[in-house]
Amino acid sequence: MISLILSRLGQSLLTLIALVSVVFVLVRMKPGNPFQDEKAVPAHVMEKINEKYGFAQTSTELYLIEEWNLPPKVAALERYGEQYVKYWFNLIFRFDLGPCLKLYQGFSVGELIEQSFPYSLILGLFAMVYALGVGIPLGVVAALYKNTWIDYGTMLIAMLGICIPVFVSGPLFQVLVATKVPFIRTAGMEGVSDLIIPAIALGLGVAAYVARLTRGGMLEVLSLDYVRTAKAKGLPMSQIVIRHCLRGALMPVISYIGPAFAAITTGSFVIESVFQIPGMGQHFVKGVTGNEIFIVQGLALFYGVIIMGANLFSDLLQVWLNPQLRKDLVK
Amino acid sequence: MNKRSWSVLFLLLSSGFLISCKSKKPAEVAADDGILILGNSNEPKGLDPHLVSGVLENNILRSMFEGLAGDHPSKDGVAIPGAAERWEHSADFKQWTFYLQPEARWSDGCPVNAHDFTYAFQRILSPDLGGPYAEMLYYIEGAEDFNKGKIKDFGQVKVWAEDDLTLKLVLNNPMPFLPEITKHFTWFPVPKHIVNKHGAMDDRGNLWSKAENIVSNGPFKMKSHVLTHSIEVERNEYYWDAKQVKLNGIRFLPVSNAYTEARMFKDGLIHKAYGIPSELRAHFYENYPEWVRAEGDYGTRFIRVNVTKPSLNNIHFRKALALSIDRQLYIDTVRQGGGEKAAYSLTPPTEDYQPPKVFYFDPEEAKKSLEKSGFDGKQTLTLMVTDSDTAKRAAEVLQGMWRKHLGLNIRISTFDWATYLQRQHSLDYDLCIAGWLGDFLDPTTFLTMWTKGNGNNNTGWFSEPYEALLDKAANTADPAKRFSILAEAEKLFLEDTAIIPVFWFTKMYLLDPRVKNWNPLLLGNNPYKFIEFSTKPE
Repeated sequence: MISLILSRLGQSLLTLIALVSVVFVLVRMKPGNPFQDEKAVPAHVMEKINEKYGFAQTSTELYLIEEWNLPPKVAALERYGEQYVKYWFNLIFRFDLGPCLKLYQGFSVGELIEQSFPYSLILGLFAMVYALGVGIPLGVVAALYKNTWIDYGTMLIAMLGICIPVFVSGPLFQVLVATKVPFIRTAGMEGVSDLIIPAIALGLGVAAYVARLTRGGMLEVLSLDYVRTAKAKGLPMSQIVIRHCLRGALMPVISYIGPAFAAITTGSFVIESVFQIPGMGQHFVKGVTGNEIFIVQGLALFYGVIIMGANLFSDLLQVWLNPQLRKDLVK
Repeated sequence: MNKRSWSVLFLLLSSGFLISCKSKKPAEVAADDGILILGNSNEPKGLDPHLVSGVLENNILRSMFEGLAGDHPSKDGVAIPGAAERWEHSADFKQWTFYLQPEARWSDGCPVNAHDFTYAFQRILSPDLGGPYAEMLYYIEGAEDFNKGKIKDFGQVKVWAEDDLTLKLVLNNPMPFLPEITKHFTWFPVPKHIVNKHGAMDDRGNLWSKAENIVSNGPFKMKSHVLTHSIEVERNEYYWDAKQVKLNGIRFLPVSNAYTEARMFKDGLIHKAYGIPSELRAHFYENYPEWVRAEGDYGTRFIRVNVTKPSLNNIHFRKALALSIDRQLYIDTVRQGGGEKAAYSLTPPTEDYQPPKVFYFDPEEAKKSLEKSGFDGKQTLTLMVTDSDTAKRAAEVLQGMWRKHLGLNIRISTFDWATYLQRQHSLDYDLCIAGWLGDFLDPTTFLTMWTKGNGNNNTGWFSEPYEALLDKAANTADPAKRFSILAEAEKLFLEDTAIIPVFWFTKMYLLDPRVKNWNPLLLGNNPYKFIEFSTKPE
């Protein structure tokens, strides 16, 4: 078990290094400068800012561009190399993800994550609990009543849940629920009641997917010999499902919720925009569109850590639930 | 859970529900507490008046800081005493003396003095700070040279504190409208003692303007800032005119989704929505006319023409493009009831300044102009826009008009914001939809950017006679004469059609009828200290 954890951690570390490196290059290849604005920044001011934040071309670079006719982004590789080393240095020794350049002046990327992640995490947890709480029972019921109207009905609902995008379901919930129910506000994040409809909208797709996966898993398990034996011995159906089937049937769900958890707890741009939630999802989008290199790098790294953690957790959960895997591991 | 626990939970939930049913909407509660809740469209990029340049930052800064002159609550272009109680000028409007309010204090109780102003001017002009909007102070003699590093000694910039309460300025040119300019946030004072406490004056990383550090001299002071959630300011008890301030605080919400904002307004969560999405305008006009406000704005939507490109370097071709735009139809289809006015010039007309009437819609003349240009139709031109839905719709409408009236097939290309800006700056486009909002109430805010090499020109157009006229206007002290020279310059520029004005902006927003003294102002800088809530809903 420990060797499994260690090998997974090692793999994760390598992946993170690769992730940071790829994102580092990609954000620098994107055209534009974070300090550019609709109202032009005067050239002499831009020069100062570029110098300060490492966007200014060095003399070597200018030489390479002029004499060797290299494209500017290629000539800049030397400068980027230095910045790359500096980035890792600051990350490892100072836990510093860099500053926000133009958006959120005066805030560091670390502060940005610190302020926004708790909102996304709480909302994501609510959505996850609801998605599993609704998805699993629906899937079980659909499997038990296979090929009846109950099955078709639940799967139709699940299909709708998968197909309706959040930017449609979100505003619909606002109009149909929030404006009618007095204690639910249309948008904003002031208290627990403000989590209700965003969590439902956010978890809808996941709930639907979980329902379909559970149904598939249940159908497979229900056809196995040991279930037939249990039925023949006269065990009540509820006990067969809960004690003997679910454990096996939930395997596909467990491997799915790892990445789903990471995605759902790191924020959703659409949900945050529709419900005015100060979460983390918006920073991914604003970071990219605003050429905020440190925000994009920092968030990509953070997301990477979360998704790897969630995957490791779901792997361990699978091993714990599945005796076959445990045996393989011992071998 | 046993029966008893269920019934307790039920009781709790239902009592909570009943309380909520009875309770007032958040905007009502806030109004009772004297707190104004404003939708402010997005998170400000920062709160350091020397490092920001946008409208939404201005909205917040105006509540916390005050320049030498203040905004009149209901009249455009009228300066009332702000941090200065009065001012004097020489006959040629070049030398100015501002006498500061003796009672003025920073929100930490320290006196606001003339040195805070000279410190602030030195800071924004410091080359190392890289203040994006330092140009706003170039009217002061020596300011431009100091900002560009040509002179190193700030003593050579002609602004100084005569004593603690007297500030003197010498300008490059006569400026009868200087008090108007001092209302702009780039002219606000900054607390010297606080800025220095948090780092070097010209360090961009100085954290003096973060919520926990910031100290201000305006009617309100910082209370709290939760990133992308809200910024709340509260009464500044040290403000010299604190008696005039009616509100207890203002909450700015960065609601970037205009549809959400409209729903929040309807649901009683905010007192003012920043805008109204075009699809919802008819709905609000029809059902809630008492909420809708549509007022003239000091800005213009126009098409920028890259005159360095083939075909577009031909004036007849540019004129054909301009003459074939049915501006009213554009407004009706794209703006959907925003009340915008078709623009015949770049500068919107004001009481003082009447711009020349250059642009109109005439498809027949457009065809003739196209023939004159000798355009063979082989070249494909592209109209560049940002990737927003409104911009795309606007581009399609223009594309249709040019196809219908001129038979031209113009392609549309969309880019993300950063790329769109970069392509404009590097003249890597043919035509693009752009806009400009005036910073202060004077036509020069629209006209000075079309000079050679100006970073906001981005058309490749320049003209010596035009620049000579601008110089002449700058050296004319008589306001009426100055305006007529500026109108002449504008006519010269517009007749060359390096830009094609489409419409003058209108501010359309939702306002709670309880909010009093929020009057229509061209620049939209409604002074918060005069705002109050009426006791009964009207």
